[in-house]
Amino acid sequence: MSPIIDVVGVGMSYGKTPVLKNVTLSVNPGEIFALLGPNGAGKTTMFRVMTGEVSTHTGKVHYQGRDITALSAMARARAGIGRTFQVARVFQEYSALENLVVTIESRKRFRGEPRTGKLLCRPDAGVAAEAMERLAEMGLKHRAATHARFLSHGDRKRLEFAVALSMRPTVLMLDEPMAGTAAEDRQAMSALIDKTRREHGVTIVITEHDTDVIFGLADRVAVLNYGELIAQGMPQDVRVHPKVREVYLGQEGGHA
Amino acid sequence: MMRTPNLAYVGSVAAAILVLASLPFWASQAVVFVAGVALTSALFALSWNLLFGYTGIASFGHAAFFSIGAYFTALMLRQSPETSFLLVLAGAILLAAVAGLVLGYLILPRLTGVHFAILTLAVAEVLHLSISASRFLGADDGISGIPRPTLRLGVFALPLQSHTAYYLFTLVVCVLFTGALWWLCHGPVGRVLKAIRQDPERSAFVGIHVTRYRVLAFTISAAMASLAGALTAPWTQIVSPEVAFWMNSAQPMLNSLLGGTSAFFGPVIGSLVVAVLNYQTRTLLGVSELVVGGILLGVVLLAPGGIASLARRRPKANAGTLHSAAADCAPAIDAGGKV
Repeated sequence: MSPIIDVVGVGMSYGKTPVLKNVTLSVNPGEIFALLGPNGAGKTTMFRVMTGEVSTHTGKVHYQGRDITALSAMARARAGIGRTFQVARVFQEYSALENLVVTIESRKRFRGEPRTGKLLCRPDAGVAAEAMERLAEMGLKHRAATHARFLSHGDRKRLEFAVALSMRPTVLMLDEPMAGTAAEDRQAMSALIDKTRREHGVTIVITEHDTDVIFGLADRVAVLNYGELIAQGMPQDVRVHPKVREVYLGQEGGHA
Repeated sequence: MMRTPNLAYVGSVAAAILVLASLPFWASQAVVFVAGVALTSALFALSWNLLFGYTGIASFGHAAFFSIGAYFTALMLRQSPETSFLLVLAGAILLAAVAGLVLGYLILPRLTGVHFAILTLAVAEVLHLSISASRFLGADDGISGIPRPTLRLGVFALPLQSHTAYYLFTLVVCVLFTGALWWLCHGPVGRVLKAIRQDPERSAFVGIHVTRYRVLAFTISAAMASLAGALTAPWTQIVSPEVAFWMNSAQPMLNSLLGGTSAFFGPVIGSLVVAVLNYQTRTLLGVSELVVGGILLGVVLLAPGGIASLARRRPKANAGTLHSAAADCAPAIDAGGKV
């Protein structure tokens, strides 16, 4: 099985501070791949390199066998790499429903999917129905008319998830989807991620520093520390890797 | 955005059009003249707010496009009065659209925000100085004695020389273009533009070509500003380099901010209010600016969102949502501190 995302020898620095040092990792289609590491390890930067928000100084990023190193974030999003942000980023002045409508309309436009009533102001019935479906899936149907800025933190995370999914991505990148959510929300989000992978058949790349949830969810794990990849593999192997244990020393109980 | 316009909304718009249309039949010539200027400044302000209120781009040099339309029309009516007036208007629109497209295409991928604003100001100033220096365009005196045209539509010929006729023609054109802009702003394109204003980066992640839409908005806006200028020239019958001066760029900004940039009709409301204020205070020699300024200051302090925000229903946030939002902040802070 050839990897869906292949990161080869990526190096990055902000000014003189190196953030990623020669990182090589690959994500297989259909799996849940987790990027772990303490705060400041370079997880988010790795994410941004993969989504195209920052360009690498050295190394390459391949997606579905094609070199996408030079592609913009927009082009990668159109090619099927979706993402959510650590602090949920949605269109604040739009209602939950409007957030999905504008996304679905955009997708239909760039994918060349048929659209009816292009000259009308209202979104066509298909778009509206699909938007409601996404909201229902996330348990947000009752929030459809609520402006995003009035949504709770957890609801906003779910809305962002729904927005990302409505792009029909091939790879969905989730940047700390559980950050700042309550314990029960964390379980629910974990279940939702697993369900999404099964039902939508997407590959999921996830960063998280709460390692407990991840070891139960991910198929494969990569651990970053000070911008270096120190381990990559199955959760049970990575968990007992000496370098990983060193990084998480003293955090045995709660965090790995 | 997806709200269907209610009866009060449609009723107010219809009533405003009716009052404006009936003006020549009961009001003085002076009032009609002021109303005609107000109509074109409303169109001008709407074009500016398509950028600011919808797309999140501030142009400080919109007078440049206004003056393109004004000078083009003035020249055409003076030099070649036989040309169909609709063709002249179309030419003014096209000329500014091309200018907007080229300028937007060159600048918008590189600069946005305040840098873009300053650059547009500079471009307008260059145009202002060029016009002042151009003998062909009448230099500092401008072009005067601009004749009002006759509208020829096939076999019909509609003379627009009279005050009333030209005023009504201006009204019809303004209403048509405002309607078209309303349609654009409330449909899929408007939704994209508003998304870009809210968060350009997030917009890119939902596959929106941010730069392309910004250039599109800039092009349409330039074309509409030019149309406003084109309609003004035969109305005032004189154009001078002042129309490209930064004071004229500030006018649509003031009108929009006063009326409310987040409401579609905000710029129209602002333009009409400013016109009424200017007219009512015209006899207060020396203090008229002071009175107008004072009233504007009062409005801005009382309604920072503009006049339109007073009439608007605020989006509801039920207590429950706010409560849980506050409760959710606690673990967020907690997690942020944890390594």
